[in-house]
Amino acid sequence: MEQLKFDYPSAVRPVTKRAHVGVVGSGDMEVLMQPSETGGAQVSILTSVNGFGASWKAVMDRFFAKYDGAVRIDINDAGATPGSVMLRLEQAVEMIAPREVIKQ
Amino acid sequence: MNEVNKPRVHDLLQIDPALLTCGYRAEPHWVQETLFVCPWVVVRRAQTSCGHIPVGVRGTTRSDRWGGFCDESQIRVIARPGQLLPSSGRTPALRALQKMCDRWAALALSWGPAGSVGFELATGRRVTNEESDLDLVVRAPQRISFEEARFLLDRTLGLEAKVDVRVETPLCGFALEEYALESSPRILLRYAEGARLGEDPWQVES
Repeated sequence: MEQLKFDYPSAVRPVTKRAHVGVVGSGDMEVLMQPSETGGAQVSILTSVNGFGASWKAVMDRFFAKYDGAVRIDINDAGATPGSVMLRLEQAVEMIAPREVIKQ
Repeated sequence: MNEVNKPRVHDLLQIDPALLTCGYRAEPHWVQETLFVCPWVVVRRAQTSCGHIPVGVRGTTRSDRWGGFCDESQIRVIARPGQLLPSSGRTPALRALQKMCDRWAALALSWGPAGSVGFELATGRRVTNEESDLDLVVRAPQRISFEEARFLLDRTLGLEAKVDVRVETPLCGFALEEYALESSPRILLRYAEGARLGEDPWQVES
């Protein structure tokens, strides 16, 4: 088990809804996305696979390069691939703002 | 090899390890050592050509996973999830499988254990531990209704080990829980060419 935390202070556009998507099954993850209480975005990841901090940071950097919502993201990971992580984040954004699309 | 006997994702294959070819990254030292002791691999979901079968090798630690390819001619035995029978209740996940055999006894679809439980039952190698989940695979050639999915999901709850059910259609795989709960319009569908979000796991998307 490893806990990772990342902050994206420049993601300040207010969001109002919350979303809970995904499942904690082998090779998958669940994500809870909700309005941030502090402005800016915070990401907290609990992963069953140790030693992938740099990959997680790269995926989250890529996500917040395209998304500017002030969200708090909690991820419970059971070994999702970077591709699946992106899809889960995209799916959560769809739920909190149906018209926003994350460009690939 | 005819269509019925073709290896499918999650099947376990006993192979001739000498001929395993490299996958997307160089073969670590433990791969041949592991296969020498226990020559079993699991069929992965990946795109292939010319009859090559994408397979995964399970090492001793959780991070020891390696993807390679094998040829149909290397296969000695195919052990399908639906053919694996529960054995001793050595760990919570193995005991959970015994319970699931009662709970899903009337299920007409082919189903069985995958992941560490499937591997242990097929090979005899003791890979499950106190923390292992029970991964199950359900083959669903025809559409499963949301009601049926919820019925199946309800019967996986409250066991000693967490039960994680993957449904495999002829096109893709998805998590039973996500489909059954209908909490989002699109769910994560895993195809050979990669995962994507989609609405209908049985529909060929244009």
